[in-house]
Amino acid sequence: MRLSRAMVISKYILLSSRSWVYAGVGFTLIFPVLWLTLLRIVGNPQYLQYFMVGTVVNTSFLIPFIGTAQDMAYIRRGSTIYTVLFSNGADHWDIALGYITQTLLLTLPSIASLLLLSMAILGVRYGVAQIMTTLATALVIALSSSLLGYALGIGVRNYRITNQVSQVIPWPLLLLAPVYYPITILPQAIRLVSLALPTTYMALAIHGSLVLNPMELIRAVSVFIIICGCSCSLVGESF
Amino acid sequence: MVNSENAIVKAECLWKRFGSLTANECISISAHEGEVVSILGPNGAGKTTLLRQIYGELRPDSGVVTVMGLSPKEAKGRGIMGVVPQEATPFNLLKVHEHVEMLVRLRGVPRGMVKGCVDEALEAVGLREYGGKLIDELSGGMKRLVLVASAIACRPRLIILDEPTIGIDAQNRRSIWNVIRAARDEGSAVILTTHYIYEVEELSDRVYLMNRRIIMDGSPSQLRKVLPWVEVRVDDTGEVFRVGWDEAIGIIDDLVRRRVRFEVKEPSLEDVFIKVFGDPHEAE
Repeated sequence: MRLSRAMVISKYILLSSRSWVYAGVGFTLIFPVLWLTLLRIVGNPQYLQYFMVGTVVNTSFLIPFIGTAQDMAYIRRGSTIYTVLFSNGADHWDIALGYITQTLLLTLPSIASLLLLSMAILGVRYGVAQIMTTLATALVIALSSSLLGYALGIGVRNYRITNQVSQVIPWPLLLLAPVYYPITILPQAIRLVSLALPTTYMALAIHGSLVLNPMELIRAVSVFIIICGCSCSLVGESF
Repeated sequence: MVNSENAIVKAECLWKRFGSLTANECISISAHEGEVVSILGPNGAGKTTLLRQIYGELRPDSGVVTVMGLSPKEAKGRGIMGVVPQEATPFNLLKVHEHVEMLVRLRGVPRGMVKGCVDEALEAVGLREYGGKLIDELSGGMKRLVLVASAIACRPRLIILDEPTIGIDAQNRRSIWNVIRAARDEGSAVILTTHYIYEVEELSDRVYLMNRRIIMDGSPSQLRKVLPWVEVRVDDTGEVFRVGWDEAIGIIDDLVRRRVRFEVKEPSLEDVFIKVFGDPHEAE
């Protein structure tokens, strides 16, 4: 793998995303403004912190996971773009790193905008340390989600199946995990299930970042390192 | 015969199976500096499988491929190859010049040379004025030209074109032919597959006929000699004589004396192709 090739791929995939500029503005600006305004109007102030955690998890997990799975399924299986890149000099890891880098670059502004707008709209107060830690954690979450999506996208031969499955997988991951509310609200049985879900640890990590609790953060991030390792080996197997 | 010293590609006894299907059976081919090598065979003959092993997308089950003495992966890493894969479509959401530039940069061409290479390649395929257009807005044939421009830009030592002229009109096909000839003249080895046999006759220095294994190879004229006949068509009566040259001379002599209009046709590569692989209509 050569970093320079990965960066070339990143650059040109980013350039190609200019066709999706409306979706980009929607996710970076319109969605946070509407969502945060809605939370301010109808949200229970008791759970405000959890809503923020949930929204950051949603943005840093859902978009990189679904986007990567569907894009890679198309690039690898539904078109010949992968072959064109591969046969003209890129190797598998160049393409993987190039794609994932551009995903992270596209996700970062949404998270930053979400945190900054939450201060303006919800009146919450975050210091520079909290914002920087949360951004770094969200990037790690986006990385592990994007790697999972990548493994799914290139691992399944039928890209139509990937397109559908990638939309279904996040439902239980977001609904059964204590992402938008504290784990104590969940019934005992679901609480046990939630311990097996990566989104539970994503929520813990974001919560740990927003309240600057290093122990909570380290415990959760170590789970992502394991997820990233597993995803990398799945991706490697798919080559 | 070409000297194997300057071989850009050497494939030695490649075997490739997919489950119970054997796509390539001990295939050995080579392509040399300044040579256009065509691979001809019916659908499903394993041509694309062979090319995919040469550019490193598939690993042979056994046998060795070297490109300038390197493994395909190493050769790709050094920017030696430019490839148009079969049925490929370009990255539609990029502009034309960006697509060519992307592949040139993937081949590791120094930054200072990139723009010149891109402009030259677009000029060569006649897309210079479309450089700033989104590929998505081009016709299917022009999209193929973008791929060809991307593959030949900066003249890689090895150019692999898997059916590059499919869906391309006559004028643009001529542009691609000129590009292939120019690449050959500048010392690149070009490996070409196509179903247009006249294209092979027009361009190739050497042709491999294959159907899972190599059946014969040689220059187009050497292959045509496999068929020992010549066809004499009498215009007035519609009679066709397919006979050896000695007999043909007698027939021609007689037709000349009778002042009858006629034409003489030597076997084409297509005739050789049909002879080697059979005529499906005759089988019916």
